[in-house]
Amino acid sequence: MATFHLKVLTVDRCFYDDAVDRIVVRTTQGDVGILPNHVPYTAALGIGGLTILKDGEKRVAAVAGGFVDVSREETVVLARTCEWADEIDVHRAEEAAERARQTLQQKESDHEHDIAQIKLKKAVNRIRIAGDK
Amino acid sequence: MASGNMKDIKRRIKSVQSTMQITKAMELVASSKMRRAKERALAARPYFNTMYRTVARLAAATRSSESVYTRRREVRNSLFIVIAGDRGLAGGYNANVFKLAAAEMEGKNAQVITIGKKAQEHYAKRPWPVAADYPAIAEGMKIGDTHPIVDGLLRLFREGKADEIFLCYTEFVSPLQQEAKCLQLLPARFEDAAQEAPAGPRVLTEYDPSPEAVVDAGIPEYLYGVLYGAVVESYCSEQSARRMAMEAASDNASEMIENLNLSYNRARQAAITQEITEIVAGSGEVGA
Repeated sequence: MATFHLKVLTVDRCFYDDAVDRIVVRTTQGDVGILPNHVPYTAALGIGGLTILKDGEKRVAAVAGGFVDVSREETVVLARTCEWADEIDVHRAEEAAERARQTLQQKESDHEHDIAQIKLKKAVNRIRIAGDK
Repeated sequence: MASGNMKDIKRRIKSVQSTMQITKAMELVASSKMRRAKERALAARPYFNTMYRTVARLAAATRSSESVYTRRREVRNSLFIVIAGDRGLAGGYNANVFKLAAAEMEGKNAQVITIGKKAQEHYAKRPWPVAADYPAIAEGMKIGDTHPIVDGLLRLFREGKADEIFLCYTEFVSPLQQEAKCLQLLPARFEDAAQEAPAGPRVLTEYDPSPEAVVDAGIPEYLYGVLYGAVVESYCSEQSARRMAMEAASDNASEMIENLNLSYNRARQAAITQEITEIVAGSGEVGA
């Protein structure tokens, strides 16, 4: 089966660098599946999952923010944050979600409200990804 | 008189020795911190380079319909982000970046955002207005720490309070060489990257949902990355500058101790000779 080269980079490490069969990544427009020989494609990432299929095995990671860039040679995912489902500290994510909910209840300025909402989204996403590994 | 001289020298040797102990310890601390900082700086490079290429290509693709972030406009206010250390005793590290920043600000209506305690102290005493201070964040810097800084920048830029934004930082070339640099962040310019691009057939890339939307989402992302990279590089440079300075100080101290030991021994020898002369002279008197 055809494969393509995938690189997932974050600021502090090279998260993934290998040939894969297929990936599904959450962009700002929704989930996008990328197969070998995809046309050159660039999109901004939203908060969601990154699913990597390789040799019939599936690995899931939580991604928040960044880019996906597909070129002829390789596909690069530049993620602001990225962690494997089994690396996620669910307890910490739940605490973060709780904190964000509390901030949302206090009537803060719009700016702080937005930040809390994004934090909540990220935390919920991590809990979800950790749940369905 | 001779014994007084000896005591003085002894005291000086002691004081130089204790200074050397401190510089030696600081050298060791700085070199271990540098090793860690270097790993972090090197780990950030692939991300940063790929990010730069992608955003440069994006900016080139959307040149016809320029985004707020790449459009050139009349410059009234400039904003400089200056990254310096949290501590001194790092050779010329802090002074170099301030010197470069001052040269770049010449003749501009500039305001400053400082990163690092030394930068905060430096600009508190200068005529340039300070828009924000971020002391003591470099050591444990995470990408999330750049968000409030960049969001603040973008706000100033969109509201027209800053028409161009520069970043002054220190690039880590090697453990023996660091270079202060000034980079224009906004409006984003990628001319050099565009020239380097191979002149082969243009690949038509699909942007989802549109090139403009991707650029607008991408520029903040790019700034997070650049700022993180610059802070990490600067921190690494600071540690290596400090290590070098402390190494030089330790070398000087050991040289000083050597010289002082020499004059101590000479003084001791002189004292002994004098004593013998006195005794001999005295016994001669008695014998006669």
